[in-house]
Amino acid sequence: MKGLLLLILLTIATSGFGINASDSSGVPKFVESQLKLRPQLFVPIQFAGNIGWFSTGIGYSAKRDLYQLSFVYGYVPEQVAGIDIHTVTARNIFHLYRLPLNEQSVLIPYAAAGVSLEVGGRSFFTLPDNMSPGYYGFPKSLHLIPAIGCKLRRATPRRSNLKGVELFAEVTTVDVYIWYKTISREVRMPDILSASAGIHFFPGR
Amino acid sequence: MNMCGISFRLFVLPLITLLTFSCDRPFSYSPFEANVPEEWRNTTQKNLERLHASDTSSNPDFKVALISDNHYHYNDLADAVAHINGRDDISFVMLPGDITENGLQTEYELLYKVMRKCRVPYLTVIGNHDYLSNGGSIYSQIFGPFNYTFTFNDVKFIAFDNVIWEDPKEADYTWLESALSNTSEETGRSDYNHKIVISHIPPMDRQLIAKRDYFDSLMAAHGVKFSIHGHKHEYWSSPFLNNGITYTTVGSPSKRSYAVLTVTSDSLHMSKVDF
Repeated sequence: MKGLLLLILLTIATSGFGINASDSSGVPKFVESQLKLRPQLFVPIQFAGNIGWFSTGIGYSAKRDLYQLSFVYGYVPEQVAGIDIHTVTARNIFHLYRLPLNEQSVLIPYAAAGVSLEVGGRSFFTLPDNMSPGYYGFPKSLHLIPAIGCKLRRATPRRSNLKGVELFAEVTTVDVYIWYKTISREVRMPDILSASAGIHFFPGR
Repeated sequence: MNMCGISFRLFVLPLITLLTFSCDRPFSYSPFEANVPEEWRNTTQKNLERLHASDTSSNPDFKVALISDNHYHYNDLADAVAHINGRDDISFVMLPGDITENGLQTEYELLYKVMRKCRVPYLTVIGNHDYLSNGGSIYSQIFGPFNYTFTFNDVKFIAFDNVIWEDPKEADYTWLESALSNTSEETGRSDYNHKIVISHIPPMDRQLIAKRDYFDSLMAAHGVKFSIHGHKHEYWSSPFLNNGITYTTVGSPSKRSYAVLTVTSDSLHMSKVDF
């Protein structure tokens, strides 16, 4: 049943891309001038995604708008995770394509890779003194958090103090989960994937 | 179609699709989460209740399968479980530690899902990898106390947590000595056919070497004939100290084997089973 629902949703969603592509002729030039971001900072706010129940920080859009880098602090309260968790994450976002929707909006599929470090918890980055050298091969507090997603970038009205916003939704996983999935038929995709969503605010004019 | 409709198709529907696709646990906040679902809790207690329901003291002979150090070898673990399920002579399964690689909740979840296929009850002992990060908290939420005892067919099993590096502490030898004493808190009985101690790290390991003589003396003083461990990933069984105690390390299922302890009223025998 879930598979059927997934198939239906994918079909509807995919048909949307086709409709948009035919409607978008002539729009890109205007969208590019309005929405192409000069090198500038943005403020990301994210829910979930293996880097915190809530995470925020500061980001930077590179000149050609193909790449964004953000540094975020993530927090998961004890009520949610059973224990307080603090993380710092460097998120690399690679824009794969730009699909203009209208004069104010553009859709950008992307891939992301976060390097996330737990701080102040029980995991360790360097081997504790009481363990023999080489007892564990990899830092236990550090994980690569890959994601694929799609963002809707929208220009805001000229009277606003925001140049634009990006709403995004993505599917994320964790480095070791991918390894387990790769080597084991017992690990299913739903075991290792989860969703997240967020927003990027681009201040200024 | 207006832009709102297109945006809906292009943005909201893929989001719903993604959520549907990952709806086992739609949102994950951190790999270090330690908030175990209610369904997984008290697993040791639930398995002990199943085990006690099958206690057949009138026929004291039984066999226990042992699988250790499965870490992330979920295929191998599942194959070992399938092999055990194909037998009708195994009363229960023991997992002497390192049931996860990094002590992550998702790893515990994957183990739980594989072991749910096991036809007979299974019981665990915590290993050093299971303590990593918040693994100790997750383990205790799923399984319960790190140190515990149970009896089956007049045999007392003592699960002993001797991990001291990942959870800096002294192993609780006072509890061990109490557990080895002949009186059962559960039944008030003072006689057992055998007493068997299961802990993850073998006493001859370098991190426990300072306590090895004490551990051996406790085993000898209380008539323990078998001391069962994991950690080394290789099957090994030997009365190498000539003190009447057989020390066994159970291999990892990644070596395509598990161990079987055969118990009769007057003997214990360990063997390796390839699958």
